[in-house]
Amino acid sequence: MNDHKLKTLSSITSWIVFLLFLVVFKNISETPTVPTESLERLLLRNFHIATGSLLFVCSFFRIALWFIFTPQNNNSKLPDFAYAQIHVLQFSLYCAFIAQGISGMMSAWWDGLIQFVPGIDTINHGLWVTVGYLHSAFGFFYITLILFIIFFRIYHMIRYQVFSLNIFA
Amino acid sequence: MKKYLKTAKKRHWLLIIILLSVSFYLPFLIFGAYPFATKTNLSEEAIRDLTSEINLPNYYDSNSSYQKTLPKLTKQQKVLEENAFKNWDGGKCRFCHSIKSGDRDRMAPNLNQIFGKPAGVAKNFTYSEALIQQRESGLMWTPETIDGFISNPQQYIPGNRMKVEGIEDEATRKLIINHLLRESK
Repeated sequence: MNDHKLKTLSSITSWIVFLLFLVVFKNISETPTVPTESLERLLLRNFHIATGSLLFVCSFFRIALWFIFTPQNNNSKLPDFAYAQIHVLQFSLYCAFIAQGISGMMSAWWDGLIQFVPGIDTINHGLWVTVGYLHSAFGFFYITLILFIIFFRIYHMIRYQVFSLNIFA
Repeated sequence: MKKYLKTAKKRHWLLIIILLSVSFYLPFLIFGAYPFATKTNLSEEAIRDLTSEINLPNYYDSNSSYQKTLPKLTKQQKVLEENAFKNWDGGKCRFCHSIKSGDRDRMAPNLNQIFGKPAGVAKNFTYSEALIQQRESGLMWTPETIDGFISNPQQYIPGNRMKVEGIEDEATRKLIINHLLRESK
């Protein structure tokens, strides 16, 4: 596969991740206010597991592409060290989505919501609490990463006159 | 092709480590969540010792004054009572607490037959130091103490892990207490 195709594929994957992120974010903003035993809550939870898993897979694919075709600084006004800052934050953002996906799946597994091997009792309250905490922590991690990417984008706009609102590489 | 991850400066990675560290603290700070569950906080025998010298009624006995004074509910009133416990615009209790004996534990202690129990003795939950001190000072959960606690948790027991706003409306608190009395018989 040539560089042009890889660049296009990376760009498409990034857009898919961005859109999935918006869907998941809307879902997690709404779900906590819905009563736990209602049908609506059940639907929202299952939708969260499905879209969250997709986000995990796409982020994993995006990171794989990252190593084959690393995003490049195409703006001559932006120094490489400044670009490296955004680059590291964006790379960490995809890693956060992967960590979020792994902890989310483990949480659902130990809560008995998903089963890879039917008929096995996977419910474990202690482990559910621990991975649930990690899932929440990684959630805060990607929110802070996005805020810092936006902060640096604004700073670069003022300092180097580089206009880019690209949060996801 | 430039490999920016290799040429990134230490301070770039340092920011990531700082953000990750802060993020690991935030669930505790904001929600009062804790990464580990303590399976048993106090043995049955120790719980009996705490309650042996205190003469509290059996709140769940159908002959107790608490059960006798529980209002008979119409279908609509029952929904109202359940909503006070379950809903976001009510007490939000069910989002973290289970209540029925067979219910699985969630993020916060099970409230089944909570009245008449000492504070800080439920299973599968790691209590704050503040609540453990209250247990050692002899705090017992009764309809009156629960009412005080849920009206302003952080004022009632400063430093406890229930980081939700208190329920100012007295009628909603009454509905929640009635629900606790009714549902965990």
